[in-house]
Amino acid sequence: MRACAATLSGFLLAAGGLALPSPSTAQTSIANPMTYAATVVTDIRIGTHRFHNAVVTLTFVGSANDITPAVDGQGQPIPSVYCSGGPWFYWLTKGSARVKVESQASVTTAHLADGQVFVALDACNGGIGFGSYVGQNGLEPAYPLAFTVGTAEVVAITSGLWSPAFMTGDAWSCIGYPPNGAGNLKGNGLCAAPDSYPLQSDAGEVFFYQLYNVTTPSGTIYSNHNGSLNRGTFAIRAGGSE
Amino acid sequence: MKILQILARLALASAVAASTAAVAHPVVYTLRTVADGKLGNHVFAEALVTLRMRADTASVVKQPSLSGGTLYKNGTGTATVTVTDASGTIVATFAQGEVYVMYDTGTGIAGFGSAISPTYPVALDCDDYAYPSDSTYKQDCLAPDWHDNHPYYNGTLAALADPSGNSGPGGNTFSDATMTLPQTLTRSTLLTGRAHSCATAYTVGADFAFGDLQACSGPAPRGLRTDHGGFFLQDQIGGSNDMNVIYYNGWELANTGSLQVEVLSDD
Repeated sequence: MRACAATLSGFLLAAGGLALPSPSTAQTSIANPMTYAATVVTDIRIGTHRFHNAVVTLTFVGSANDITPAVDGQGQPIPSVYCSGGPWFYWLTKGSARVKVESQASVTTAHLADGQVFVALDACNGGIGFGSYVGQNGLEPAYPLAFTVGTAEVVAITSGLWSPAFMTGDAWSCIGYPPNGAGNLKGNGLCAAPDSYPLQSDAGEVFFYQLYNVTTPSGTIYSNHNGSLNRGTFAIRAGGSE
Repeated sequence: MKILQILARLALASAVAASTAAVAHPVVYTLRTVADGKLGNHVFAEALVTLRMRADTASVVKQPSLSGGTLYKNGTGTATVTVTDASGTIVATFAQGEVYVMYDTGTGIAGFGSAISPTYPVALDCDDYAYPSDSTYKQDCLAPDWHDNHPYYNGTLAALADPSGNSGPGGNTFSDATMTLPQTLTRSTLLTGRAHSCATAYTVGADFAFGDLQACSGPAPRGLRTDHGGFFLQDQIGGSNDMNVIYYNGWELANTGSLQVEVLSDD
């Protein structure tokens, strides 16, 4: 087994003030609609209320027609450090996202403002989930919620975002992914606290936390793939409803 | 007089503590994974499967486990299974007493058990290698996976059960949030690990990574009784994935799961 590289890390190469796709506003009708939904038990804050070990479901509705290779500021597909050819990194930036939190027999829903969250796919390393335009680089591939290894990796490498599928994997909500760096990306070994990077919603600011980690003796996240001990599910459905 | 007052206060405090420990709360156990099987006439492959039991913490029974830990069980409650695949969602209610929730703190195996097997329909953190050996392996989930694999790969169950405590091989540590997760079925917690869903035994084959078990060799002898017909799970993935991908194969590409214990109004 080779030293761990980053899943979804190629997305970061598109950051740094370069041109990013312009997310659209909510659409009234979507061609070839798809629904992407991730569920995990974790801590989340909405407004001033922090939920502990709540069931969090993040849902994104968009069109499969809008899935495109992630590109750099010159409009070129982001190359992979570990896979030749490509493109390997894809995203779906146009669509609407909402968060449902179930805790203590109550449900809280927050509709995220458009243009913050995108569906992310790394078909080289096998990562899938939701990224966002937050963090120190202005783009995070594994925040608010993304998955590595497990059957999520199988789907990411094979059918990707285009076909219905249900999968499980290691759940990440990491500001600063990949924590251990990959290629030209230099992680600092940690996932930063999300409190400085709010996602805006109609219910207040939203923050996802990652509590269950493995760390090395020096205090850094053990691995870009296996550093999180949390597990979750990711669903890809045809159609535009949950 | 003062001594009597102190003794009286101590007695009162002890009584309060005992009654507090005995207070019952509603509890919901929810196991989420992706699995293969059949519910009634509906055959599914790689579907979202959610097992849920609504019960009461007072129904939890505990006993010493053969592994040296404590075996917690709760089988008194209403249990359902929800199956979601591309064709839709089915929710079925188990017959009373058909399944129960279990957690063996010694092995670090937790999940939903039944009269068919204490680790079927779903168990988390079972050994991904044939145990005790390839030739003598007859029944799944007799041992946990951290015996043969680094516990820091496998989820919170392995982390909590790792006999080397908070250190692990290589000196890796687990976050405080992990190590303080409650290890009973009477307090809210989150238990994660690789998922085994097999009433019989997995086939034994190549070790693509982290285990030589492949897919589940056969169905359960009968369906678990629900109001939608018999419910079967038979893992078709297990450690059989050999994708020759950059890093991971075998059981690293298997389905995982989480068992959430949510005690209501326990803030």
